[in-house]
Amino acid sequence: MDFESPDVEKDFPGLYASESGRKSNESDFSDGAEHEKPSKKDLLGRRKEKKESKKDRGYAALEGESSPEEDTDTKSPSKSKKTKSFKFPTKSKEKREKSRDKEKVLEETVKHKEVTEKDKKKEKEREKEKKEKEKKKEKDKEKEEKAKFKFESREKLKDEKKEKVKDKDKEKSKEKEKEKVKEKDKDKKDKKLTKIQSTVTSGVPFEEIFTLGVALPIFGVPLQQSVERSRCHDDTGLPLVVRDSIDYLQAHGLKSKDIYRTEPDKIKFQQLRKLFTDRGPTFPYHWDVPVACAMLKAFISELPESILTQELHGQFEQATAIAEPQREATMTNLINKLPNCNHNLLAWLMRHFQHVVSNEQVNQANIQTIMAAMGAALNMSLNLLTYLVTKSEKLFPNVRLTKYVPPLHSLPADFPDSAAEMSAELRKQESLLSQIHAEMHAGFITAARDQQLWEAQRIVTQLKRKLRSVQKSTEPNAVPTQQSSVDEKQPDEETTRVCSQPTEAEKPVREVERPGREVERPVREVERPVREVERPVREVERPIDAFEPKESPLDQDATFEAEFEDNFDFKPDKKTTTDETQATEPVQDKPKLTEKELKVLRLELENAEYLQLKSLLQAKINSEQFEIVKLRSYVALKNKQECNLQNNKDAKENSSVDEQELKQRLMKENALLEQKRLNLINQIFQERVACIQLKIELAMKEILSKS
Amino acid sequence: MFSTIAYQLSTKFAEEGKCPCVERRVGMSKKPAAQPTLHKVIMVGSGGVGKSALTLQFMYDEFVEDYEPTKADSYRKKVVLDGEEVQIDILDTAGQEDYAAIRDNYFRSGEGFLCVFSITEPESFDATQEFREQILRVKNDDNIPFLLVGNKSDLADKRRVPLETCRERAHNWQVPYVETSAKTRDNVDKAFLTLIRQMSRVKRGLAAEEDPAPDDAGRCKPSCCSIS
Repeated sequence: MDFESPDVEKDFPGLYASESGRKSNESDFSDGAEHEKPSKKDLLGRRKEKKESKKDRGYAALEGESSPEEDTDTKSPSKSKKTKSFKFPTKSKEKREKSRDKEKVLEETVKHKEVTEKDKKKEKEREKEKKEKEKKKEKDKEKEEKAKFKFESREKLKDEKKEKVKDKDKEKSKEKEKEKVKEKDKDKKDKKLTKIQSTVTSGVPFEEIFTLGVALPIFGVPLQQSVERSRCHDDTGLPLVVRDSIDYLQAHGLKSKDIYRTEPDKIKFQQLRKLFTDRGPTFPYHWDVPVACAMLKAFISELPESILTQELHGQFEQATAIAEPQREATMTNLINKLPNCNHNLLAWLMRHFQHVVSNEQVNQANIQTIMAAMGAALNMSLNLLTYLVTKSEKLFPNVRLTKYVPPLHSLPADFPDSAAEMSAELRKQESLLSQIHAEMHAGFITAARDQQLWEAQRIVTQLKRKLRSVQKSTEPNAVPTQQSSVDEKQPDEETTRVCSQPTEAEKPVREVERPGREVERPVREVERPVREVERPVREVERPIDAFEPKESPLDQDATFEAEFEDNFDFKPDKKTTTDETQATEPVQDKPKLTEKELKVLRLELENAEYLQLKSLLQAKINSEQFEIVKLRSYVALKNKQECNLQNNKDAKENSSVDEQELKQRLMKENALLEQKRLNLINQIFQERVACIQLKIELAMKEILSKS
Repeated sequence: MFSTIAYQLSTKFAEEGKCPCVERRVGMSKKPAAQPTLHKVIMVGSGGVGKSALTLQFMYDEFVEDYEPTKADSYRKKVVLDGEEVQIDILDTAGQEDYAAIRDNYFRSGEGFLCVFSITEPESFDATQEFREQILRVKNDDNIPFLLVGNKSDLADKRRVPLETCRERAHNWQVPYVETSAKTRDNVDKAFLTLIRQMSRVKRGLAAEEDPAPDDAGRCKPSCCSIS
């Protein structure tokens, strides 16, 4: 066993004090005081944890509310400790309190305090509600935030009193923090107008609890979700927070001695974290090297699952023991088994670390430094990390750390005319668009988002038009002069369509039977001069030129190559996006022979259809997820209220029974919903596939009949 | 601390950046300010009735022969309407049900609707009923600017929806009916301009009724509202 592995570290915490210290400090800017008074903690049990969760209510911790409960079970045991404080803060607090009550560990007085505290809390909530109603107009968002912060800090104060911690410096820093956050709130007021329609449940309106960052958190959720919710709109498939952090470090951190060494300014860190959570824009002054490192670390350590995934994690560690040259093959194999998003994240991290280490002369950071800072978060042994970093170039040959250029807000007049750039931007905009749609489907509808939606849509339309005109001009003779022998071409094209060949081997195959035609055509097919076919095909190409042709194994005509030249630039990127769709979806496959263009055309149609299908399904999934989030928080709220009531009545036994019943019922409901969702998606999916096939058929006919 | 100052700066910056857009929104509901009034038009109707063709004809005076199903497209154009310059955002939606989920997001922000059907296709005419209901449901307003448009009037010989039926439905809904041809550009401008007039009338009416424009007016500091 390696001595620096996290497991060992857990067994001998003292040995690695600095690491574990760092590990525990995330999102808590006042933990210093608690460490000073360890003796109190014995008596008060898990109070510290509770406090953390309360304090975080304003931003970070609430995210945890939506992290699915199942995750707690599936998580790897070594990880659970880290992520605990971000899960179901309200609920877990409840549980803790209950268990404490049951155990009768606490004295009666403390309990009383609890009760009064809760009453006050409730009062406060009611107050907030009233306020909310009074001034529905402008600054209500801001005030709500303020109220939340006030509320929060009061909570903090109470806690502190109980713990008899009187650290004045801490107070001050908190005040400062409050000030700053308020300012920040003003700063991005419209970004944060993420209220959803008021669905009042159990007296507390949803919008008071739910902002976009709260309902659809990006920290502490499975990587895939995080990527869907806030991603880079280019093809890297990374969460924006990771990309921005790596970008910053690549640009400013490689030569810095602070990299993966210095602790961040906690306030600054919290601010940046909140910005990411709320999908707000970040500015250079939000960043510095330690903060960027800490952001990366926080994101990774809060992932419910290891980057290497639960099932492969062990195999990765084992593979480090294998001797070369088998090791590399095994590793490559394992890496290729990773889900797309995990693969991307791992690749970027390792490439980035490699850059850091290669600058050791300047920044004096070696693999140990990185291990010390990130090892626990990554949950990797030093051996594995060292291997991945040193071999990163070989293991991830296609990854290049490029700076992220977000999608444009408006199309400048001098936007480059090259098809490659246009389609790159088009893809970004479409990615952005689908994200906006997903957010709106999740219930976050605001004027600002509406506006964003229309703008993104307009850019997409503009780009499509531009792209079309560029492509038209590059094949100028494609459109006219074709209408010589329509009756001749018609059958030919049909033939070619039937006889087109599969391009990509990895696509799952679904045979479409058309035996009659197949038998009938091939003979003519072979005899026909190539030139004759070429023209109608080009003609066909025109209407759908927004999509690009894919490479084909058959290169029968050199002139075609030239015509598609401009399309080829961006083809690889497109493929990567389509592959994941196509990997799971059956793609129609034609038995045999020639005419790559028609086949390409057909594949493009399918490609487009599947992409659209994908985004639609995505939207649906998202809204379902939101539904679940809603239900969960409803459970949490209910639990809280019941607890309040029963605390007052001092009827503990009932509370637990009732609560458990309710919980079970809601959990069942959730499970049912989940099942429903799966069924629906299955159904929709099957029907869609059939529809798509029909639609393609139709579109092909349409195109053919026109030419 | 440096970041505190930076935040103040950014706050100011953000406010400054935000004001113009609020201004425009305020101006929209009152009289034209420097920024022309913005109208959001949404094209609805079944697939293949010619929504995109109408839009492209209106926008660029072009008629596209090939049919390519739209997912969603958005255009902006400035027009002079009754001596007043207005800006129109046109959203061309998908007729196919597959994109209904995406369509809904747009319906919500639409201020006027062109409900298009093809006079050669009774099914598309039937579908208008559903679109109408959907729009009313989303907008929750019976007086939403709305126009029933029978397209493909150039194909009179293939007509399968009698003019009377169309007029009757429009009458029942209390909306204008226009028959257009995207191919010949017949009545295309008329259809759009009728709707836009209706929209600006409604907006003016609203502005007169409830004086401080809801939501938006309050969000802005008085200093920048005073312009309008």
